[in-house]
Amino acid sequence: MSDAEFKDFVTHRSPALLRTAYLLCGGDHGAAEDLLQEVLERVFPRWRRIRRHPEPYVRAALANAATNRWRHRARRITETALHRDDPQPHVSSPEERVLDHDLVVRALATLPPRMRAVLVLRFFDDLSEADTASALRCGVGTVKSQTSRGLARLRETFAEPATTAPQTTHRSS
Amino acid sequence: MDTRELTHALREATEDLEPRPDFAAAVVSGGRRRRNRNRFAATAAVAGVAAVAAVVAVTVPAQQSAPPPGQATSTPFTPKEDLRLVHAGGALVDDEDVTSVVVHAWATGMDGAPVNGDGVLDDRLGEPHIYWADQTAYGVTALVTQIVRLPADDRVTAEEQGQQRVATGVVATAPGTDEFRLLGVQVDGAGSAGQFLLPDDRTVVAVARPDLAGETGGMWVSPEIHYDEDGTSVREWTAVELTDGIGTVELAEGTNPLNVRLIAGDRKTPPQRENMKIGGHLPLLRTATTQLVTAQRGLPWEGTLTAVEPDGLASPTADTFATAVRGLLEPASYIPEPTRWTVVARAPSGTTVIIGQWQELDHPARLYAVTVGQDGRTVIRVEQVAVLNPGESLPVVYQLPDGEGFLVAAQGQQLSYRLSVGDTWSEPVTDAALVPYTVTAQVRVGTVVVDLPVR
Repeated sequence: MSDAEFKDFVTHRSPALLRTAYLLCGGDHGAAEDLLQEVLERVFPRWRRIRRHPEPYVRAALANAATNRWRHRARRITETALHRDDPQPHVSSPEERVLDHDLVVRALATLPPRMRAVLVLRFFDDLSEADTASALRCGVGTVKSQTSRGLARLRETFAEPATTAPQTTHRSS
Repeated sequence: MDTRELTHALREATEDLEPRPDFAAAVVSGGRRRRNRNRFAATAAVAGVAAVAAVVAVTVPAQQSAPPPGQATSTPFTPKEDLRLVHAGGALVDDEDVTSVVVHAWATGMDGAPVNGDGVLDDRLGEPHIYWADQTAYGVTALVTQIVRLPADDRVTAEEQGQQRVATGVVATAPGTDEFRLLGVQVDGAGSAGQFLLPDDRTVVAVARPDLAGETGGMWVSPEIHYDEDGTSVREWTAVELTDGIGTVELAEGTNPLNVRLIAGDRKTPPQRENMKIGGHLPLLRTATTQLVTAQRGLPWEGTLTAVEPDGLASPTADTFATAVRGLLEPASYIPEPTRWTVVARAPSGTTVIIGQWQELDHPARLYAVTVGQDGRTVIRVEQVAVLNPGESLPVVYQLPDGEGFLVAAQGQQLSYRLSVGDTWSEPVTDAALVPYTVTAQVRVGTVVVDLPVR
């Protein structure tokens, strides 16, 4: 019975959860599906314990899995830098108040994973600051500051039309 | 931009996303396997160290689930049972002259920058353990392990706070010196840490299951990607010789480290592409001090360039493109960096063609074309078009099948075409155009005239 219940949950709630995963993965559908599948597979052995409130649990697990790059980060003595020609996305003029949603997803993808997760949980999944903090196992103050900084960075991205292509250096993880 | 606009944009961007049809079944199947594996690993641990050595991988036996919101973190992981803290291999592991220098290098290297500048690895439990020490093509090399307890603060993720992990490091002669130093550390996460590329950029030493000593298989290496005729990227895998808890490889001269992949796989056969999980390769830590840069060889375009407006496309073009092209990409090399631009056109037949680029690791970027059926959802063709040459006046040229024309693009340029020399040029359009098929078609990009190649 528990297996059927779990499958039912996956069948009916995967589309919504996939959308969250998609944003957490910076707009990569394939990676989002992989992430969601991995998280749900990990949830399955614990289903009996969480089945009364599975969705908040899974959503929190998604956000943490997406931000959990730490376990894949090799601590190296020498850093290998990746130079990336990373021009800012072309934006609509200030007079047009409709945002190109593809560009928003791309801009979201440029944020650090944790900051991105905060914005996704707050403004896509519509969680409160307290629920977001609980999901990400951090303080409400952290959620507030990450929200503020994340929105500021997105607003910078959409503030002016692109005129040059600034170089952005990323450190491989 | 206010938060309502952000919410609206995010919802619009995702409203048509759906998982693949067999997703739920795959999840249940994978979940059952995980549940059975957890039960078996727990039983083996109870049975004793010998049983653990026989059936459990060297590294973490089970993935950790994220804790439920509001509850304390708990983990069944027991690092002290990890074989990397027990096994001792290599001809020099009992040589006190070597081991004393190795332990000193480990302790010195773990104290502060650059490996431990933020102090995350300060809380080390027990004594460092020399897992392996021996001669390699690079010189005397040792792998050292020790349990670390991660800090209970936001230097690490919430899930990791206070957890114990195994840190695995490589000690060898630092380049340009004759000093033995700690050259790199991997901290166990997914349970597979301990693979290093030494500073010569050729010698690989990797932790492997000690019970596989003397056998091949279990670990495989591939230096680069190749492309099949149909545009699928593939790798050739060579078995890594495993001896005494270590796999060693000597890469060929001139191998690009950025393209090397190491995989733990089946003992008897090379990894099969269809069974490979995306991103499932072992993390190989490069320890050379020279910088390596992954050149960005694609086009720095942005957005959707529309030659002919598509009709009823179910998903955003970039998303459709990335999902479709994934099937042609090499799983172990996959990095989720979808194209930042697409060219799209509705063909006369009612299908929609989407073109984009994908660069795999440090290989040249390539153009791919995805054809979506009239329903706006079914992908009916995916093909690699060409290696991208960003320096071309007309970098994107794709001949549609069945005589439906050519899809061409050059962002920011005025494009016009004529069907043969002497004809009048069409009215110019910006960025992208769908050119009717003839064997003598030409496109003018600004003032440059390009003959369209016919295949």
